[in-house]
Amino acid sequence: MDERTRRERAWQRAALAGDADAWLALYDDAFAALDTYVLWRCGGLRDLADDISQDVWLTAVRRLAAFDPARAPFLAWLRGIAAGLLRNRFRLRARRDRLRPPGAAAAAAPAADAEAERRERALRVARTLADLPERYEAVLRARYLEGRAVADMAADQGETAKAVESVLSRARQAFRDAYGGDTP
Amino acid sequence: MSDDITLPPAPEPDPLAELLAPPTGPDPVALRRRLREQTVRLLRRRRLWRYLAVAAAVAAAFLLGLLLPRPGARPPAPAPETTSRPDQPPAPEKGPAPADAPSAVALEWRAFDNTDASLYRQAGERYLREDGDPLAAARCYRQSLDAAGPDALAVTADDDWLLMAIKDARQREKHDAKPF
Repeated sequence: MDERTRRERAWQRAALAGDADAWLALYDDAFAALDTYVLWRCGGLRDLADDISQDVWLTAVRRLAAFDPARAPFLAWLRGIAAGLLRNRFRLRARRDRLRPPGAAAAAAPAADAEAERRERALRVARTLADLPERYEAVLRARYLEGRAVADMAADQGETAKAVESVLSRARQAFRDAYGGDTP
Repeated sequence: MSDDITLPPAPEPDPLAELLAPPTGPDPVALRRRLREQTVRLLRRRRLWRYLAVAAAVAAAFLLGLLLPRPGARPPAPAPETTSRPDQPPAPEKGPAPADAPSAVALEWRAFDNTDASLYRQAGERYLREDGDPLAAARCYRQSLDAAGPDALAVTADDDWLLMAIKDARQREKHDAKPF
């Protein structure tokens, strides 16, 4: 068992026994990285990211017993919760939009100013990332959010650089297809 | 001399770099503080609920134990007169039992084998006096009264506080159960 697993398991057990300090150790350790990730997944929309972050943390407290440090780090577990929440949110919204009569959708559309346009674009990015397969999302995150080089990602995953490059280019293509025709 | 130098082709700009660029902005200090408080509160509340659930389970198990029939209970035997017979031997002296006297447990087993009210009573007295075990004493006193029948419910001067209390409770039960 490595140091990270041991530390997170100890914090998890203490937090489950009601130790607030242990919980805060887990919280403080992961908060900034999770916030950056959620904000990225939300296309930079702060209000949406705050909503999702809140849901992620409250879910994490409720389901802390289900977290297994041997399988993944705490941050990865939180990222999984966030991804699930975003997917559900966009599916629900899409279902609601389909049920709404066409006239109502047009009436509800915001004014076409720059801010509304920026917001719409951010939502499309968020929706697109939510629709991508997990593996594609992971390589895009490593490349664009974490700024990692292909060789570095390959070493991390125990694969060849060529294989990672191939997954990355398929992920980019999938993103473009899902995002729509006007990708920059 | 020509200045033409062939440069390597510039890398193509990544079309997704703009859309998927890492977000920038100030740290969400207020959000961090708010979520910190919310999660700690939720953690404490969940711990409280867990304790309450355990306490409720223990209480339920205890009540269930009270309601279930005891394995040693037998139907009341015909009542031998133990307390009010004129030729009854004097009550044993109170005080520490001799070293070779049978233990309270041994007395209870003998009483159980013979359904003997007086042995049950002796076992109860010893549980209470020597072992300081009122629960075991109450069990033996109840068996004693069951075995002795209704006449044994009269309180006598030899009864200790626990036996008196059990007799009194049984008399009340009996009285309250009479139809008006």
